[in-house]
Amino acid sequence: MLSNTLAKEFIHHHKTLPNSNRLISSPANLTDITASPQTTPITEKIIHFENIDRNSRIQEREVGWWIGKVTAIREETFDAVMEDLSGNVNVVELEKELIDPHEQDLLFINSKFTYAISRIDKPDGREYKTKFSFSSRRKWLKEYEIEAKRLADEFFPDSLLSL
Amino acid sequence: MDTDKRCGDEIIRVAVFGPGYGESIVINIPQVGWGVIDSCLKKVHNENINPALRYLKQNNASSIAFLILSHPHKDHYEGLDQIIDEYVGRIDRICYYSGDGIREYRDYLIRKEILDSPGFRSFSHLFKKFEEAKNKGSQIIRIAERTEILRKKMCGGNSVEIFGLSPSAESVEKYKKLLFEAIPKNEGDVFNFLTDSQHNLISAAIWCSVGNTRLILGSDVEIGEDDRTGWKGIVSNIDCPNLSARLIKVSHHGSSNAFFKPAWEKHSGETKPVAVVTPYNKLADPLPRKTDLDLIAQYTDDIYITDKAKYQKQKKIYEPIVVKNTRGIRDWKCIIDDPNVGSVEIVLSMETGSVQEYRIMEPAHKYAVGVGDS
Repeated sequence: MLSNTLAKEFIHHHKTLPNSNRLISSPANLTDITASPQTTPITEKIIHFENIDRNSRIQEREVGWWIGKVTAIREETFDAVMEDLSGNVNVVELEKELIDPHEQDLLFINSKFTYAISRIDKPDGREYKTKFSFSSRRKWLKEYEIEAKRLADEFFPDSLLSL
Repeated sequence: MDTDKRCGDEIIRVAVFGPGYGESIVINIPQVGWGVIDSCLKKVHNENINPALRYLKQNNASSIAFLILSHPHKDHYEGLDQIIDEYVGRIDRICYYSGDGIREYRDYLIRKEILDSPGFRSFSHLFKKFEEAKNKGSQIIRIAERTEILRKKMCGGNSVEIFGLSPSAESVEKYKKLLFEAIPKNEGDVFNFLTDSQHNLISAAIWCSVGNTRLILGSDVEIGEDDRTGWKGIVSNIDCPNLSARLIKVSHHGSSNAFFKPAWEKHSGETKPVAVVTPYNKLADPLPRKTDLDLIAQYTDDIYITDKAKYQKQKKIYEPIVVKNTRGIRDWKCIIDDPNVGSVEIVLSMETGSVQEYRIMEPAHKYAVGVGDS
């Protein structure tokens, strides 16, 4: 049965779009390169790693991830509905201070955003970081036209307009 | 027993489902059969339940006389494809908004998908299902003001008639213009998202008359800006039918945007109707609100609500480390996913319109007028 959770739909949606570089990594595709096991056994060679400072390793893992939709805007805050990857729906009031100054114009009713909490392990300790980013784009680019035409032709040809 | 077209049962059955997001109505009219207006899904333990489809199956419905999509909003069409799949080849007619502006709506959704969020593909999937049903014999009707959904016919000694009260030609024109203006055309154009109220311009309210019983199913019709749109447009239309009714599916989840006093005065003109509200829980202040219900309560003694928003603390869902490290959240409530799908089923006499029976499945409940919905 198809899942209808907003979060899963959002991830699928962004994977299929052009220029989806604004998507924050979700736990599903988050990889921790430094922690990956070596798949080819090294047996006979001696390898010298130069300029490797073991203390400089930083590992980051997202421990919480939500996709949100703005439902109301107030003077200092805005309301939103946030859904996690398990489909839990949360009703929240968020502070406008979370929004990056460059993204202020993306705050409008129904705009989408991601909210994530990362655990960062550094040599000098562990810290947690909150990431907030709007997933909407506001401006239309000429290159999107090709994708728009493809979507229309593939999913909603003119023949469906007059059933 | 196949209850599709029972003769001699002088009763109408109306079941309203609204699990907090979305709504669906199933009607059974003797000698007409089953009708479905809109569809919704309810997620329970990672399974999507389609309450309307489940109800049809439980009642051994073997065909559908009419299937209506009141307007192309996800909370009104989720799961409609499943109903079509189940009954394809056995649906007499499908009625949906597909007039002027559908091309613009398609183009709007495509651009919204590219710039903001998904939605276009589920919409296009539904239209492909409509096409499939058409190829299997379903009649396709474009719904609008005074569109005949069911041609007036006699059912025993009673006449049966169903048609759309909206959208008016002016609403459609206005909507088309809004869509056209919202669609970015040139490099650097800003995408103007339409508000939910603007989309509701093309909501189709349904008027259903069976014998001496009238039902009005309000969809998401809002008050309207002038006497040509929304409820204002419906009430001021010179061809407006008798709006007094025994059962009202309250429009737009009981919001203040949809409460139009002159319409309610007409609804309650002959007798106080039963009102059914489908909530919309995905808001900080969910619909319906007590103040809005108290306005409706001036015209009815019986308000039923198909769901009840319940919340729990975030710490009951998320690990303490996650809760502790959130930043910028002032207020945080988690919606409790009730495993039950609430429904309000009402059995009405065709002859007198009186309510013969109520079947309320929790979390649906009756609103305590004057006390509130604690």
